[in-house]
Amino acid sequence: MNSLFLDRLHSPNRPVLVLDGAMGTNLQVQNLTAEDFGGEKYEGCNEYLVHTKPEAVATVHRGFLEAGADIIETDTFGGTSIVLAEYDLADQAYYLNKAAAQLAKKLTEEYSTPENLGL
Amino acid sequence: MGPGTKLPTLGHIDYDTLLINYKEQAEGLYDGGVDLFLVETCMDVLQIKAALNGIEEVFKAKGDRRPLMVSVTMEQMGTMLSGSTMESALAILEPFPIDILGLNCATGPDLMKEHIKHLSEHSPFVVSCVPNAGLPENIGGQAHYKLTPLELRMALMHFVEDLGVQIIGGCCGTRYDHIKSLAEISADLTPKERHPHYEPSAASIYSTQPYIQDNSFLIVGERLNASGSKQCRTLLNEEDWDSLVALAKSQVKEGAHILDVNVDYVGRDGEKDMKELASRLVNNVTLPLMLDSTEWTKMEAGLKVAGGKCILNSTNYEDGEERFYQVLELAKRYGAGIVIGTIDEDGMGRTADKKFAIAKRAYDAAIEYGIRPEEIFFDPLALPVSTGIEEDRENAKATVEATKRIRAELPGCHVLLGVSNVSFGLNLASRQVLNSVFLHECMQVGLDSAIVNASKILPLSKIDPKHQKICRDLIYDQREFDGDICTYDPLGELTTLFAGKKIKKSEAVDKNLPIEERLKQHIIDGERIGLDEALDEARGQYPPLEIINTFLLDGMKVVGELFGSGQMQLPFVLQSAQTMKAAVAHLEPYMDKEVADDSGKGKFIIATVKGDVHDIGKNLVDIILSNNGYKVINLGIKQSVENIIQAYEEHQPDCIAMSGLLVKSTAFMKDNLETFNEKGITIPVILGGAALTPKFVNQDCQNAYKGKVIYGKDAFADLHFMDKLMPAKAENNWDNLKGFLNEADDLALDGASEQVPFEGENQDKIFVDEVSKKQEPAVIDTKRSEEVSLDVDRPTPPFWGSKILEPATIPLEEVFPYLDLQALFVGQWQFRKPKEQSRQEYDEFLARKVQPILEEWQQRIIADNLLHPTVIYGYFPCNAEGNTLYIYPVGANSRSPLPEPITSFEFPRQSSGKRLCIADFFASKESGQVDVFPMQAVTVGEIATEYAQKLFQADNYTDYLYFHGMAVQMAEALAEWTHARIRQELGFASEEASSIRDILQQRYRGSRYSFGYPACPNIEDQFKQLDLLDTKRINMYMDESEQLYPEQSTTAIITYHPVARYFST
Repeated sequence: MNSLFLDRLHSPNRPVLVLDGAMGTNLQVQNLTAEDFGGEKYEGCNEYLVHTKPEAVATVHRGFLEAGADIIETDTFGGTSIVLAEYDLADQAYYLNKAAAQLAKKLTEEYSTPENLGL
Repeated sequence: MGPGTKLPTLGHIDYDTLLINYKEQAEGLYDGGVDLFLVETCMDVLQIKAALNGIEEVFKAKGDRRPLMVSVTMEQMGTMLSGSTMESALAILEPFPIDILGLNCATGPDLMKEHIKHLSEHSPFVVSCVPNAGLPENIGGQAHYKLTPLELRMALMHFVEDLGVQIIGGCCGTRYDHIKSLAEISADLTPKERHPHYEPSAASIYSTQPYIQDNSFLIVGERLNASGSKQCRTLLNEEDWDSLVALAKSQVKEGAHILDVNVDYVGRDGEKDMKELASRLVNNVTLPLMLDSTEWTKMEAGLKVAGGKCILNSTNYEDGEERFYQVLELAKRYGAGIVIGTIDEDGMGRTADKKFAIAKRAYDAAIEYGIRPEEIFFDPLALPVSTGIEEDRENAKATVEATKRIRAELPGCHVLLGVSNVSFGLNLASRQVLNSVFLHECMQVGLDSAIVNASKILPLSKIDPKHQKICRDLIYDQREFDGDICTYDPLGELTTLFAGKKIKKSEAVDKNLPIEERLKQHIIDGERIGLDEALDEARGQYPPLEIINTFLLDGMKVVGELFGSGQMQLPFVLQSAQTMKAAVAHLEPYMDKEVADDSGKGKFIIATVKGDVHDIGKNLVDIILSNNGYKVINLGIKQSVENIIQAYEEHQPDCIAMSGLLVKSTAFMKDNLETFNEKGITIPVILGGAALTPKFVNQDCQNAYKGKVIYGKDAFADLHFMDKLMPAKAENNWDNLKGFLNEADDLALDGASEQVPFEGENQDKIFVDEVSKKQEPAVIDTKRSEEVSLDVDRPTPPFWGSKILEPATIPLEEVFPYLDLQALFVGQWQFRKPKEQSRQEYDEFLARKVQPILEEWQQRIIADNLLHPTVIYGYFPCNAEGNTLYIYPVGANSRSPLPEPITSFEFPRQSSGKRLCIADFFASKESGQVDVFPMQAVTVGEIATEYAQKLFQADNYTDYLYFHGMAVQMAEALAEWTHARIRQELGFASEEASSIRDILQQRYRGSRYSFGYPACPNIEDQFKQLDLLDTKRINMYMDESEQLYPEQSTTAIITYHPVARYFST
């Protein structure tokens, strides 16, 4: 495994890395509508937003990246099919996790610099 | 990846389903390109294992890995939702290939500190800390988080710089500003260098058990074994799971560290049985499990329900390499320890060489496979030496030698034995002795764990040296021959020696004893089982009163002698008394009314004196005397002299006993004696209580009373006196004014005065003689001590004024570690070290017998909500002037002119030496700086008194002693806990000692004083203190006789000055 992340974590100066903050809290303040969630049936399913309103999730990612976070978390806290089943989305688990990872990854690439990658 | 909504340990979902779920999620994340897998907000250790193994399956399929991070959530109560402590979570996760382990969610940073500290000191992984923005507060149905970005930054800075945390972030309630405030400083922070030390351990979901036990060996309880125990087999066949769980629990009491679980029983579905049994044990027993089977599928069935760190018993080469590796794979995948038997394709290793060769082969293979040596337990097989067959003669010797070689040549691993097989076929009495000696011999050469029935192992000191020699000769085959004829065969010697002997029954009383002996034995053993039958049998021959006065009281007499000679500890004495009580209650219906109401062997009035609510000492006297045949009139606590006199007139007792714990109670006792004189009372009076000294009783008090005053060192001293007094009275050998008229008894009267008080008792004692003598010096010395530097940083508290901590916010688990075990075990429970016992033997006794009692009570207190810890603490603006400390209203500060003080405290100054005075520890008025005066008041609640009373009333004497002791020491522990919190809030956490022992020895910054003690002796100041803290909000108050309520409460004032220590003036 080649991992820039582990290289940086274990580099001799042992940098302190900053993880981002609350996804839920910062989605909540955007006052999203049922429509944003893809209909009333999905209201509250934050994981589904990467499909129905990816900008909302991107806003949170961007907010934390702007704030200086070194690591951001994908919007997949409830991303197992058991939890998604509560919204009838169990069969979407693979797709939603992959989409969430792609979205987050894309944004980190925008904000990556040689410094914050430890290069 | 979050925890989902279903926890496997609670049976919401099964392991396999959960694993598939995580695998699917992990695959999506992997394909989407994540750089780090984070399993977060973990609430259940088994859930973490399912997630990690789900992710591993993806790594395996993809042929590559990604970094792994696990973040657990410790609830406010101090454990994960599933009940796991930080220590157990670490032991369970340590074998897994993760990179980062930390905490997130549930609380703000303050409640995470202890856990982070544990990880910092012990975890081999990078430590992360991702708190909520404080504890959520429910405002109008919405969670609100109050921690500001700056506060989060300060807390996490401390974790990075002092505890070596390397990853920081925010959970619920944290906004962009919070992260920004962290990112702003992260580049300038350097995590403290850590030197983690992890102690290889097994773990249940609740707690850990180190593989290496100090002064002992890892005891694996053997009784839950269907292939070895008939009882277990029967219960399993009946699917009597409750009884199987009870069997497991009984082994906890017997001192097992780990439970062996074996459900191998032909004809049953072993996987199903293992699942059924293990899933019940997980939630009901706090010990780790050793999953024992010849089939790996049964072990795996156990691993899928047991979230702790198990040990697998066992693997070997009997069926070739494939099965050998199958079990290694399980150990790796579920993070378990492993037992490897010295068996190969040719069968069991019989010689030391063969045993070692197999072990060496397995050691190399396992290490290559990725199992670390400290996770390997070799079982060099204990085979019988008891058959008399020539080829079995060297079995034990081979095992001892193999043990020695394995430990010497295969570094890091352990040796485990199923010991009892060595004596297979012998009678029980000889088995116990041979097993014990064999175990000892193996331990000498490096055995560090054994599967045994812990209650059946004898310490060597309990085995006759001659018997030991015979066993050793048998173990090492030291037969002697004359030509072909064997002239000495230790096996023959052993069987002859123990022919027809029975093991001394420790549980039930031997039914073959004559009835008189049996009754006596019931009392001595404190054994209730079979008691009623024995009493009914005795009633056929003797009248009830004779049964009591002759046989039962004979038993109590032996109990008293055993206690007196230090061979019996107080809790067991109380068990005997409890049994006595039950026996008398059983006989009462058959006694004549008149006889039943009589005054017994003598009448005795006892009371705790005015202003004192301490009644345990008095109640112990009641228990011991009434169960030795005396009629005791127990007046209760806070008894005025008028009440005592009235009771005297009504009952016409033979003796009055007065009790009290407080120093001032001793003065009341003396006053009472003078009042007795006035009323013409002359009967003997016994004085008892921790603040008394023999000298004070025998001189000061005796001089104040015309009759005789006796020092009641303990309940048995009182009994001893009454046992002398009553016959002497009957024989006209007693005179109230002159005492005993025959010399021998007269000596007994004074004898008590030579007794040395026990260690650990109330320290007030030292001052009692001076209480009355002390005189104020003519001129009061108010000059500051130069030993106390003025040049210290004056800290800023997080708030001014006071704050209440309710029971819900004080996790008892956090308070337990602050218990002063010496004070609890020796002072309260009175498990004292008998003279003839070595320190090591005594420590072993405490670990084996007393520690489990403590653990049981801790669980009971939590489960039944038996203590209600409540705290008020706060910070007040202050300045010192001379010996006076002025307290200002909240809001007073150094920037504006000082308002009038709201109150003040005067403290005495030492007349010589350093001339210390508490006021000196605070900034002086002329410094122009307002200082902080921290105070605290803590209680474990009125329930402590109520529940103790309930136990006493119900004649549960032993429980009464245990619970009362717990309540007293928990109030003290709560005071330590609160003080630690104050030190932390003032910023002195880095100067903390790491062990409780050090904390109890004041190894921290500053000091804590209570009014009434030498440095601040004025107990009336406590009224001012309670007012300032406004303790009536938690129903805490002091009455006119300066007694604090609820009873188990303490208050303190705190100084942070580094020079502050306890001192007397």
